[in-house]
Amino acid sequence: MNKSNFSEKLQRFALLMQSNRYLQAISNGLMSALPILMIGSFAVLLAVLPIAPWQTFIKTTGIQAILLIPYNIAIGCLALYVSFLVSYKLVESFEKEPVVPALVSVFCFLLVTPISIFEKQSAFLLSWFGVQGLFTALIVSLVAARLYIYVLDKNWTIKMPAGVPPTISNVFSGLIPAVIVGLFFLIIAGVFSHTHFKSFTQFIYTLVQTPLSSLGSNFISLFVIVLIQMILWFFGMHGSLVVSSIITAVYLPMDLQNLQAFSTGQPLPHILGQQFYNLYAGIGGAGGTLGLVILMLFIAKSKRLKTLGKLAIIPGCFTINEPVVFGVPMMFNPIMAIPFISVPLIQILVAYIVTYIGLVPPPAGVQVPFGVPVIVAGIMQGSWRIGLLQLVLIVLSLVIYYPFFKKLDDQSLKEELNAEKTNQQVQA
Amino acid sequence: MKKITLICAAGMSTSLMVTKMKEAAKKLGEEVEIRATSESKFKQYENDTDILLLGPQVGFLLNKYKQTYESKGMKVEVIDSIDYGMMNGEKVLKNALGL
Repeated sequence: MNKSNFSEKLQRFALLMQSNRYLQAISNGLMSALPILMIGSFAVLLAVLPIAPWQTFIKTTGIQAILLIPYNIAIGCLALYVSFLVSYKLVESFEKEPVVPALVSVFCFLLVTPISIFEKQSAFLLSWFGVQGLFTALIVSLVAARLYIYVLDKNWTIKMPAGVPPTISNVFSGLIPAVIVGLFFLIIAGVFSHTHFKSFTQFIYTLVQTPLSSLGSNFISLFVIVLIQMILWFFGMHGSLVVSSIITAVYLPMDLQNLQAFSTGQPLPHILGQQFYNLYAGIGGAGGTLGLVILMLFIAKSKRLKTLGKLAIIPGCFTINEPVVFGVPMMFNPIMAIPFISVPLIQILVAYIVTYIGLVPPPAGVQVPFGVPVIVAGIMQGSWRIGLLQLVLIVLSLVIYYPFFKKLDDQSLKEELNAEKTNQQVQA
Repeated sequence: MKKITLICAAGMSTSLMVTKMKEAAKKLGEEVEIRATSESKFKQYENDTDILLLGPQVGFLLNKYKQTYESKGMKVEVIDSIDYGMMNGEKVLKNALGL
């Protein structure tokens, strides 16, 4: 297979992944929940901050219990929010009015969630609204939204006479789809209540979520994902964007399980997770280029690389490295291919081993937005040792990049000198 | 006044580019409105864009955008990767206005 042919195939793959509206709906829906996830995360972080006087203070004043409330309502009810957001995003991608179907999706999610009965009081267990119900929420919201659109497109709707305000006719046009979607999930709920799973949610949790998260906790899976991502980047495509929906769907639930354990002081169940990926798979941007940028800034002889180093160092600390990828350039660069693709893989491998043997704790799963600077982001995951590990990995990337950087620098310097010479000759 | 929108994955690196392009526009005395946004939010600006520039990292979306928007008279192009990497605002701006 020749190079351009391969590149074209990759382009098609990237476009396919990126334009898949279901993956996009999951990814964008979960992203819309980020503000709430952050409130919950920071509340936990404050509640368990390991500083003795602070702990005594919040325990005696009862503030700790209060801090755990936003956690339970934010992260503990994520599935409920997601059942709204994901179907909202999916319907929006079909360019239809999204509020009613999103609400119908919440309704359906509640339909399939088991109701527990305690001494004649019936109640939803909060646990079904959290991580345990997350996959059900994703499935229900995609199916509910898609079915709603299908019925709408079939035109099985109640037509309002002309002149009725659109807001009102919208509500009526949603009536039949809502009833059909609701009925569909009612049947599912009914059927599953007669199986030994007792509910659809339990069924999904046992059959899908558990195997999927064991796949997710397998290091090889992450290794392959990052490898695909880096090959895409090497061909100049935003690999991180392409794999982001998979990362979110598989690894976010693991983060949240860690956070749950973290909030109660239990040992963290997972080493991997979305935060592990954010922290270690590409420090300073895809390819772990922060080490390279430091080399360019401080020891480059080539003027072009030095300028680029100055330009890229600050964005790099915030994990933005497009100037490096396209300016060095890293893409299609045979000299840089080896470190560019291997550095993030080595970084996650080292981080995994170091975490596995217990030198550094796993990330607590605190949800922080993209763009928190390196090392600070590490410390926010519950331990200064995570920040230190990031620093060590930066030094490691610097060492790996060094021989390749030297070659690149010599080459650029030669080009610059040649250009100067020809310039002088022209002037003379 | 020409309205230029740049898109990339999260609108982060394009926002760097926008800063450089605005500086260049000031220097050249060009009256332009330039903004950066993420790929997923572009719909918001679809009626408010004359020239759409894609960051090279999302260049694989070029055909998708061309199909949707060129018929509406919008110019769609991918930014040259070296200009993008070196954050050469002046050149990117000139190329865009020359489309």
